[in-house]
Amino acid sequence: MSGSGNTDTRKATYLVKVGHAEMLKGGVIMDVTNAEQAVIAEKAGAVSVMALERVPSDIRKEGGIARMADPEIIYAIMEAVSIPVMAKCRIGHFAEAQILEGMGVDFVDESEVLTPADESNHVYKHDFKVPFVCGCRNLGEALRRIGEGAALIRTKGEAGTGNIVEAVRHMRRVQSEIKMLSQMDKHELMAAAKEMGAPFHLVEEIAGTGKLPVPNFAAGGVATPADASLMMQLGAESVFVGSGVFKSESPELMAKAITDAVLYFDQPDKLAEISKGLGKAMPGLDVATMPENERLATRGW
Amino acid sequence: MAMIVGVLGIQGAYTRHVEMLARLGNVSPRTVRFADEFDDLDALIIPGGESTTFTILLERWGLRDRIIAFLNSGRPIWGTCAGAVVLCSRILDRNKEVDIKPLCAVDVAVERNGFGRQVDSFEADVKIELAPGGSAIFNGVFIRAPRFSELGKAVKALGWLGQEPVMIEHGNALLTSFHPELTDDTTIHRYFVGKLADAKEEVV
Repeated sequence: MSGSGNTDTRKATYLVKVGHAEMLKGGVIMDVTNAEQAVIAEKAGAVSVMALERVPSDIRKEGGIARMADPEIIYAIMEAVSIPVMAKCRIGHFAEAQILEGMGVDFVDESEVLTPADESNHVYKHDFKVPFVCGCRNLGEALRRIGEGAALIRTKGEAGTGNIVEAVRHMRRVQSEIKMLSQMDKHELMAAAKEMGAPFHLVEEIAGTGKLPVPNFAAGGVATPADASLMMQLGAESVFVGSGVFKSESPELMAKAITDAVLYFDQPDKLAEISKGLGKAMPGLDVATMPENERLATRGW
Repeated sequence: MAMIVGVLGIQGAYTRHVEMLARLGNVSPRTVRFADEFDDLDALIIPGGESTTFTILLERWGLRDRIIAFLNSGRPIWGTCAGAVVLCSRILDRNKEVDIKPLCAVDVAVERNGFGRQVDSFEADVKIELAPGGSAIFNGVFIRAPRFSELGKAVKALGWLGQEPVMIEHGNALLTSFHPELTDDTTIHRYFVGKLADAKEEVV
């Protein structure tokens, strides 16, 4: 349905993919598992919804292999809302990504929250029409994903914990590594690229511009309006909320409040108002005492 | 004195507009997201983003009335993509009218995502004619772009994708279904600021 008559159109260009990520800035992307939740998210002001079978905290609890959601659920969500719909594929599972693209989802999250399908490789994302978002813990990881074609980067944080500590760690790490590169002498850049395991041309680019070439969002552990504000103040350009909305006591109120908190992230008076009377946030988990093999953020290479 | 051009900064690609305006020299760009920030603006841009989110936040935070007051004052306003959806007179989703009240700055119906979802998004040459006889090609970036139909009699087309109008003007209000702010080409930003200079002269 291009409908542009005889005009030549250039689809799936870098500008079109990164441009879509630009449109999501200053917003909240909410995890939803059915059409009803998607409508709640849209009415609260979410800029996009992430369609998945189970929210991360349930994946944690129930265990088993976490895969791409049932297409029927995703179609029902796409039908129910007018905002863009994202969906997750497993790391390296390009067949799941192909299916999601064919269905017409607006963004694919190649996500560590699902069980990885490939323990060495991620999807080669340049070949796809649909843009991808990928998680990172540091700048090297972010640049490897951008090198593979990701149009949007997010922190991994530690999904399903309601604990912001890991997202903060990852965001601070990325920001400080960008600062470090931009102060380096150009003779030092190749060694830095080697050290980080990052493509040299992207290291060189960042040393010049002082910022990532694609938007940088926060994810993994956001549970309250204050968490959203914290991540925005640390330099996130938007916020993903996973279990934080629909595992809270009043999802409608929490969804609205986190949306408002991203809008007025730097206004403590407004944030106090926004945070009042929301009921209980999702129950949290301590990441420090969590065994290494239960951590989702260590997935990805 | 530099003209103050506000960019609605509640969500979306507003910093890209601010960066473009800053390149023009005679303009002082300002991001606005509070109800009391509209009065001293000479012009306003509503950027790309999510139109549903815009509508909800404008209403929830009392900004909708401020923008209506701004419109009524006759000052120039420009909506790109989602901004165009907010400023039209009727909003359609898949040919069905949506239960969202647009701001009616331009007499036109807008079909959201009329060019399709993200996988259908594209770049294409747009023919623009900003002065009589002077046409040019502009790189149009269309992202889940809206489609204009039922243009009112007073609405003038200034840009076309093939035969279809994608840049339209109604008095001091300008709509583009594509994203000039994502390119390096300041032509359309210059045109908008030029309108502003004209509007100011009329007042004097």
